[in-house]
Amino acid sequence: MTSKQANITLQPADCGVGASAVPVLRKTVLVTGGTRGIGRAIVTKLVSDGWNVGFTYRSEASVADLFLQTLREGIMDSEQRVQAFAVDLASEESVRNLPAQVETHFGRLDALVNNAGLTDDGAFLTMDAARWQRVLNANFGGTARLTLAALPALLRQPDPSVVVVASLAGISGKEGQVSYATSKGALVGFTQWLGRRYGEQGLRVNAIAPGFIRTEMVNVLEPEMYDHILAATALKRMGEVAEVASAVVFLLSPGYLQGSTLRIDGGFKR
Amino acid sequence: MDKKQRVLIVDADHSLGLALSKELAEAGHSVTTHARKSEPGIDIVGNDIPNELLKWDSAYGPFERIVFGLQDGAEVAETPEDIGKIQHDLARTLGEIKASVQMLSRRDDGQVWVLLQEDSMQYYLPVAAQPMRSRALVGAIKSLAKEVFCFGVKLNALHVQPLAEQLDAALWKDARTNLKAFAIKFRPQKSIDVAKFLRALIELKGIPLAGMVLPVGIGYPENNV
Ligand SMILES: NC(=O)c1ccc[n+]([C@@H]2O[C@H](COP(=O)([O-])OP(=O)(O)OC[C@H]3O[C@@H](n4cnc5c(N)ncnc54)[C@H](OP(=O)(O)O)[C@@H]3O)[C@@H](O)[C@H]2O)c1
Repeated sequence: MTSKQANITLQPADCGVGASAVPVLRKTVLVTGGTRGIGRAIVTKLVSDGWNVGFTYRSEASVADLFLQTLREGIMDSEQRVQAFAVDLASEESVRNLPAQVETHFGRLDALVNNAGLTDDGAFLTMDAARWQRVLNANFGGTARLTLAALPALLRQPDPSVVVVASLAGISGKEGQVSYATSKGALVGFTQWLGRRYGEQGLRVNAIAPGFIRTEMVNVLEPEMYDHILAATALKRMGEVAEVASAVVFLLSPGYLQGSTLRIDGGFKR
Repeated sequence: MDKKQRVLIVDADHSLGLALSKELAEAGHSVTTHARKSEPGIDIVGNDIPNELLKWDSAYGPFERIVFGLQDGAEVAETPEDIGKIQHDLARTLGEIKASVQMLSRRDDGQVWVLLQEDSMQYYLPVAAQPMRSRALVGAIKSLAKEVFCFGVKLNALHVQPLAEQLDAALWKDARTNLKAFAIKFRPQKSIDVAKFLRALIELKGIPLAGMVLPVGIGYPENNV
């Protein structure tokens, strides 16, 4: 059943947890890499904004389960509202099957947030090819394949949308991150291509390019390692994961942005 | 001109690569052209550049300048196989750029140029270009350039709008006519004009460019992010 066929209000974003006189058919979003860092903040924000949320984890089912329980606390119909799915972006098979699993669970798929990603830093000239190809394969190959696999389900919905989490490194470049920057640059290009290819069919596709964001990984770094980055950032501080999540929510809401990459970098070198 | 350069043009079998080869040779430089398959006017044919580069270098070099030519071909991302192909091409190009930079390291004042196809003109012209490859390589070049500058290698890119020779004159005419309100109507740029521009850069010693992506084109805005 679609929103056009039934006398049902299509939400979100005003479909908070409370009761409603009219049955609510919530929009569904799939967020990859949802158990930690930026992805976790995106999932938390989207659940509280009233979306049905499917999020992925790679291997640590217990971490995903714990997060799932936290998210489900105090939510009505919580199993229908939030679910975790295992996926490895490096596995073509698991990527191919994921959108159908999500659609089966929630009955629809309206949006995809391609957040999962990895990096493997080091001097490129001495780096083993297998290491940098792994980054390219997961970040670009896995993300692009997943997006293609999700397209049929997305295009069945009235206002489908894709958000890609790229990186400032993919636009400005970063020493020690050649393959990461290549993969993220490819995603910026993929965002443009997809937006151009499916724009007429109503698919909105945009990307974000976060700069230096405070995640668990950053918390263990010595300030000397990143002071120079903050010094070159107009806001003179790191970004917070919740600020990245807000930008993702903005891009998911209907609008005239297409094929754009929004920098969330506190004004880095601007 | 500062001095005669020994230049290798990888993937020279394109109007721009051939024009550059001609332009450099006429200016007195030593030029070696490469292609993946045998073509008229091509000196070296080979697919395994990282492994063959040193051999070519001792036969035709030592090179001081390496140019990666434009690659034709519609790069679509309709199927997982297309994605695999783009990924494979990117990995191959990265490996080739890496090998080139390694070889030029500590050779005084090396330059590596990567020619990228600008694609936003596609809205008006059926040019076979998509942004995946060019955007990915922009990220790669800006990153790697920062790593290799200290080894005396300057890695840069030209982001080249479609060349006159890439499309029929009638298609250019239609595109121009359709852009009625455009302030400075674009003109198809000839390969030889872009080649002259690149030749001038190649000739410079101590060029003040590293990790830069230079837009090349007339009257059409560069693809924005
Ligand atoms: N933090 C920053 O400053 C920053 C800046 C720019 C861009 N970004 C981008 O933002 C996104 C999130 O970053 P983050 O800092 O939150 O990273 P993170 O804490 O390392 O989390 C990455 C997430 O991606 C998942 N993931 C990694 N490789 C995967 C694979 N092969 N298959 C499936 N899932 C995989 C991880 O799952 P597991 O936990 O199961 O491994 C994890 O959930 C990434 O795309 C990153 O590149 C981050």
